[in-house]
Amino acid sequence: MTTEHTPMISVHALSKRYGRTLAVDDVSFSINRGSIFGLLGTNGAGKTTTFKCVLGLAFPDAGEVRFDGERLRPELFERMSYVPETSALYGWMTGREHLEMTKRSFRRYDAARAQMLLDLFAFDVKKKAKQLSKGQQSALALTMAFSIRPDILVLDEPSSGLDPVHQRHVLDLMIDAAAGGATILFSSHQIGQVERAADHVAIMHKGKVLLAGDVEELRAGEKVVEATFDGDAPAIAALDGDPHVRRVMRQGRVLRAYIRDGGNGVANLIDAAKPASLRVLNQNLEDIFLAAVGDDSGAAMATLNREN
Amino acid sequence: MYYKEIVTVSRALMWLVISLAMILGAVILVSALSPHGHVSVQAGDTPSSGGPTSFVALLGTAALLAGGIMATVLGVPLAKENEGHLELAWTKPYSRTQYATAIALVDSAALIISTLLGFVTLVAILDVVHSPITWGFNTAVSVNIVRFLLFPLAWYGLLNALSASARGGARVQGLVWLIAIVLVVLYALPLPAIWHGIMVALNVVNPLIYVQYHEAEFSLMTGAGSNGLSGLTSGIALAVIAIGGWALAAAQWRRLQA
Repeated sequence: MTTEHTPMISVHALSKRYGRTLAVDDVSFSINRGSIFGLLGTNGAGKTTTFKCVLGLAFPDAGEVRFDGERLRPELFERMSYVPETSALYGWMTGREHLEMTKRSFRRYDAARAQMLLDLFAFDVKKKAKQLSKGQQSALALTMAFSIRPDILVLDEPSSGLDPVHQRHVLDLMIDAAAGGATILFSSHQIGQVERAADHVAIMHKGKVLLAGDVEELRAGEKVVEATFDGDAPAIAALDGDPHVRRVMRQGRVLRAYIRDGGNGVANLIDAAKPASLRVLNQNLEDIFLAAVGDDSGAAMATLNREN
Repeated sequence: MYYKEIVTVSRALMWLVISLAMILGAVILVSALSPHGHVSVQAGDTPSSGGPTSFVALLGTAALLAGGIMATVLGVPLAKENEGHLELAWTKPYSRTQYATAIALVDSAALIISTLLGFVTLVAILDVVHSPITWGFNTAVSVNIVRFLLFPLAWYGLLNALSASARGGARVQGLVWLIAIVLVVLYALPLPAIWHGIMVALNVVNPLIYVQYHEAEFSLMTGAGSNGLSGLTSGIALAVIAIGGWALAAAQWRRLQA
């Protein structure tokens, strides 16, 4: 029975194997109505396969997906939109013909909204899809998706190829749609976008969900003590044995200690090494992601990026 | 659901109309430039001795050429969806079977229209060259009309059955005529019994076998010998290939994954 507390999308113990590769391994998550759920993962993590299994485009080997308590039925697509990672547009059809196809397929198609979206993306409907850049193809796919005012949006790298201005528009559209009650499941390689739009995230790696939860709670769950020294950051032996310290990174003059709790004690230990400055920060999503997938080189790069 | 296919067939029909108009225009031009005021034509496999051709023979020719060519052009719609468009096709509020059936219905209508356009063009050409046409109707003629209208649908069903799991289907489109004609020729050759048996079996699903037609001044697909089947039997065989081929294609397509 569906209640107002029934998750809009519920994925339980989903698994999908391609030959010997376990592309999706026992993945579970649920998304509440009006929520924006970001799926993060490295290339090949299983995000797209998860989306395909959720939408019935691929058949899972195990697990169950429910939408508002119901199994997927074709009629549900009347209130659901999907934007795939790679363009599925018909190259020989124009933008106008794609929109006409959408209009004739979905009763909820809203021509005024479609026009507003076309204006937003400055899109020329007279061009054939094969003549469009990757960004323009994304814009057309997004216009088709949002023009039916869906209750559920599944967006796989929705801003792929778009310029920063239009990427921002996509985030705004998602946030507006969620504010209007739509439920959104999306993936992006741009963690900053996920951090801005999503209220919940799941981090996938090698087919598994490593970490999932409320973005704010995840960010508050760990702190970063960041110290900048006049010279190279020293190794502080006391940190190695401290049970509160999950990881220590030294990058040039900067030392970062990722701590679970008891931040003040760790900060005092570092402060004893006489840094030029010291601060205690909430982790950002990038830190959480890199910590979860365990990529130290990526973490070092992330550190450099943040410093720049 | 069927809008994309309507766009597809509209463009294909437009090219067919242009091609047929060019052929007719060429005949009119040659006829006008001829010192006798007209040219004579040969319909089908056998030279005409100037006697009348029945309209049903023209319909058979139109079905084989205009209908057959259009069936080849339109005959791999599911394979074309497999070429990267399934995410769009399968996220509409229709089942895969409904979607595939809508495509088949639109394409089938286009194939009937193509055959009729080819027929009208042939009638116009014979009129230009002052070649007589007989228009008599009886049961046998009615059966043959239905049989010839079924030919492009059978060809379409066969192509779909062969391509529904493939990506694109161009290979099937390119080879199917060649293979079908070779099979007809091998069927007629005096091969050892076991090979002849194999050819008979393979040709059971070859629509070309079932469009054979012969009348006094006209023969269609009988160059390799008669198959000995009645018009009714051939018509039923074509209907089975059309429906069976499409059902097989839809069953394959339903099981695919994007």
